[in-house]
Amino acid sequence: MNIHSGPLKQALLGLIPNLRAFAVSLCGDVERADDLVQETLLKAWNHLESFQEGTNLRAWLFTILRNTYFSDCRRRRREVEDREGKKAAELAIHPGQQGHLDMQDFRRALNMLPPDQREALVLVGAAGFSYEEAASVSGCAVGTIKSRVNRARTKLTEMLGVNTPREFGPDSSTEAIVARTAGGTRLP
Amino acid sequence: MNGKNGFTGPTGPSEAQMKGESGGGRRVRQPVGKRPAGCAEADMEMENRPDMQRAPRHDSQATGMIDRSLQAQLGRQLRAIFEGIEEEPVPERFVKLLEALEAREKQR
Repeated sequence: MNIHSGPLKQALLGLIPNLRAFAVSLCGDVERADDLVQETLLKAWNHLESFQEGTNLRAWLFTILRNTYFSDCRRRRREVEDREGKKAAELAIHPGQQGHLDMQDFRRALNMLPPDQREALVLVGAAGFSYEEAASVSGCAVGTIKSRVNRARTKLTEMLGVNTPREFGPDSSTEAIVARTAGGTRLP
Repeated sequence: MNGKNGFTGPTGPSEAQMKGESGGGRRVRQPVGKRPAGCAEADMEMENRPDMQRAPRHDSQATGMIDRSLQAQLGRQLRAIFEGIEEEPVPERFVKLLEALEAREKQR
């Protein structure tokens, strides 16, 4: 296939920084992110016939990457929940005490969001996709993306908000984690 | 610093307070020293607004103001993470991978 030559390689190379940023924001782990990017590049190269020329290559690559990530997540759900539980246990977000929201707090809070909400927030809030494009990448309705973004924002605000320290103080946070780990349910 | 994110917009009775705050003429009923040093802008807003300082947690209007300011801050942090990674050079493994794929293609 002619399209496999130089131009495609250049196009893929040019999109790697964007893909990596998406992958890291999505999974919160640079090593895993680079594995996701690698798998995405391989799949894209090997399934190029399913890409419709003239459509958005970036959106197509993002779709492959997020599908890879979510099927990966399903496969290792328990492991992921354990890892998130540990992260949550280390989490002590007290902007009121500490005086500012540092980047570390933000990263932790972002990683605690349900993956579908995190994905929607990153696509719309950082990667610059429209709600429609984000919906197409995630394979869901535009309304679903909007509601995920809203829920993600609300949840981050709750987790990091200066006005709700009690809800996410060490005690209730630990309780929530215990409840979550035991029941397998997500934070409210 | 206050209001720079454009989220202090024309909603609710607190607008006048925001203006008073930026003018620096608003009286502070509670001593400023109550909060620890090095406060973020959200905290600064709290200090300068006695009504909010004493407001119950479920005061949705007061909470809404803080939430908007905080959300703008969260948005900046999200983009900062994203852009920070984008600016990193492409790891060598990907350059090699694409070269290998291209070479394999040419052999066919």
